[in-house]
Amino acid sequence: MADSEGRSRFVIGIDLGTTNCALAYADATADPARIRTFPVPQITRGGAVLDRPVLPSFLYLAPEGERPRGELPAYLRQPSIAGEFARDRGWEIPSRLVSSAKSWLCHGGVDRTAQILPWGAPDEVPHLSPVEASAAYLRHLRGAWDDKIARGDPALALDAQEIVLTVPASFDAVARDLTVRAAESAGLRVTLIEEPTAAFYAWLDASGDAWRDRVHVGDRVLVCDVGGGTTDFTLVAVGDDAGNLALERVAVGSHLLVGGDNMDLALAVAVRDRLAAEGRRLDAWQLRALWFAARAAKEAILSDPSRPSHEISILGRGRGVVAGTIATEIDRSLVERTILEGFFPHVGWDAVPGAPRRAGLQEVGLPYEADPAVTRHLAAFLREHRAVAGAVEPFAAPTAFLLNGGVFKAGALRDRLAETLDAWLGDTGLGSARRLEGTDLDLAVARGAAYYGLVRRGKGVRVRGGSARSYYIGVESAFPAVPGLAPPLKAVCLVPFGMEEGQEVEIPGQEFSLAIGRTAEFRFLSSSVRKDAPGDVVEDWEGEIEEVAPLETALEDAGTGGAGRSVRVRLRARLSEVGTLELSCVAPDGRRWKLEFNTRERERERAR
Amino acid sequence: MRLFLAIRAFFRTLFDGGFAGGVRGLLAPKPPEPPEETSHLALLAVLQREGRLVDFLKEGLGKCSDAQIGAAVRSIHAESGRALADLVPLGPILDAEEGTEVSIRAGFDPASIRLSGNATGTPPFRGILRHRGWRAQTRGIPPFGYGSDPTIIAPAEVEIP
Repeated sequence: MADSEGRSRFVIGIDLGTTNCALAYADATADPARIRTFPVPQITRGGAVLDRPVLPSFLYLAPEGERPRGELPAYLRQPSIAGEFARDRGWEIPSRLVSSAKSWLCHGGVDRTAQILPWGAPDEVPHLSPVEASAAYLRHLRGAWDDKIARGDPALALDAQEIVLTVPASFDAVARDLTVRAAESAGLRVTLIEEPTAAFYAWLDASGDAWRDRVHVGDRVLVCDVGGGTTDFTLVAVGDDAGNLALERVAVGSHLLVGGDNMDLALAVAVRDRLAAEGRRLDAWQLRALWFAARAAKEAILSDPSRPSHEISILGRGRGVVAGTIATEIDRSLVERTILEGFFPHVGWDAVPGAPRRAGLQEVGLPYEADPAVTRHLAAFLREHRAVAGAVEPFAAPTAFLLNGGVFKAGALRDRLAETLDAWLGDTGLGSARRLEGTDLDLAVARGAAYYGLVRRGKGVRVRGGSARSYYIGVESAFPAVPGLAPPLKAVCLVPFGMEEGQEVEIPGQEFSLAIGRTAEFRFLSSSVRKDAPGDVVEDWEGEIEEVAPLETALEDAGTGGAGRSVRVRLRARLSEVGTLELSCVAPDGRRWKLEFNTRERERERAR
Repeated sequence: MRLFLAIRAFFRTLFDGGFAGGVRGLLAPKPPEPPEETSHLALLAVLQREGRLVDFLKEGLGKCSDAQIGAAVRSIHAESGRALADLVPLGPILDAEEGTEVSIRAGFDPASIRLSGNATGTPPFRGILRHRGWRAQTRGIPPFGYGSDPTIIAPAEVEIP
């Protein structure tokens, strides 16, 4: 059932997370439109099909004979099983487990559309690309929704609804485009939103009208999102827009590969080593059980300051479940040493994250952070973006902060982050930062994405967002030929930081010479630090601007027979609604060539 | 000789009403067999896989110390309890504190409320609630989605080094 303007009945928010996916929705025809989360049916650890609040982002590539039985809905009968069962069973056979697909999606060091997962698995196991794995999770959500909510009504099916999908603010244009392609291959058309913005929207939704009293013009809100395997920092500024509060995202940190799972594993390993010293050994299966127990112990101890320890028991592996049980205690000092001091140490605002490993040769894989300390990364982030604060302070001082991610269920970690920020602010003579609370730490991002869907229908408060990076194109300088020396590359700004999706800018001033009719290389660059205006030319960009992905293509030329020539063009850049970059080259006679900057894959690098 | 049999059957079907009824039954399409009832096995399999309940019940506890049993039960109880709540949601039949006085109205269901002691005369009765009872909130259990042989409660596990 569509509304009078032909829009879908539901708006959907999907959090396609590194370790968990979640779906929230609102009936846009209801007044008020309430956001609900959708419990996702999945095959669980014990084999039963049950609803769970989230779908763990794991795929088990089941061999023949281990595939689910016939009387289930089709989305559960896939040869690659998604969700809780996959996470658990895959632990026993790592070569058949796809995990962290999203981290691979934003890893520029590999071909992200190639079938590379499970990473390092032998050839006889089927392989998927990070895009295909992401599509599999979305397909599962789609099947579950259609089975439970749409029930055969095509107007209510997920592919007929308006869907907002979340990505980390730090995702580059390639990763965003691949995310959109994953959705498309699952049959879904989506709009992207950045996770910190979604978390902020969730806070707005949870606060109701009270939000106006809790954030004020001039506030800078730090959104600190520590997920299962990743950490992201963002700064949102609260400004004044014709008498109303307007929110604008002003700084985005890089996607850090450290998160809550690292913390639980660190604690589990510490306990395992202590048990080993006592002569009690755990096998891999028991270490897995210990990992879960460590999470429970972390949450119990760090949420209750009066609790001295947490008892855990790891069951025996075989039939001697009682006789083989290993019982032990995790005490407060171990948790504080491992989690608080290991991941959230008290550091100064001038702390520098530990340098990356220096080994000359390294295994190819995900670029995990060398330094697990979240607070040190936060200090570096705030210093890097000090320009946001007008360069008066030595770092971009937030006036309020919003925490997101299941890690912060532990009260002591929330407090530690607040203390650390306050200490930094105190050093520079500033007051303390307000804590914004009230969101569901696991589901806020999905809920916020659904809220954004309502915002697009004119319900709720809008955060001005736009591009998290500035984008540039490399232009070869006119330079005398010198053997062995490539002409220097200037970076011309196309898309300024903060440009809104759907906007188009004409690059003012200059004309460029465009090679057509022969293969040429176009080099796109980006920066999360510089704030240039469209048309600004940066000659010395090393260190501040990085190359994203070169695009090699031959632009069509109707005139000459493949000899190749140059035409003078002006440039227009457009940021599409899904956050990808389109560059149009317009000749004086009106002819246009369009470069879609969307992928590393050769055949998709089309030019029109 | 099937031909002879067929001719005999033809004439008896024609003249013998009882025999004709039997033939009608033989010719009618067979009703489908009811699906094999395996939900009890699925329940057991989930309790085993999530909470190791079958391992626990089948283990001899003679040589285990009470402390060892206590440590194991902490985990088995938590995990099996969670699985049970997922599979068969349970609620009390009488929602009142045990040990407090309750009144039982006329027309109560004797299958769901069992009286003991001096239960003579006609309702309403006043008595002390000794056990709140349990009622399953659903009749079936969720489908079981893994493996094709329901008699496998737990697979044998072999680790390839």
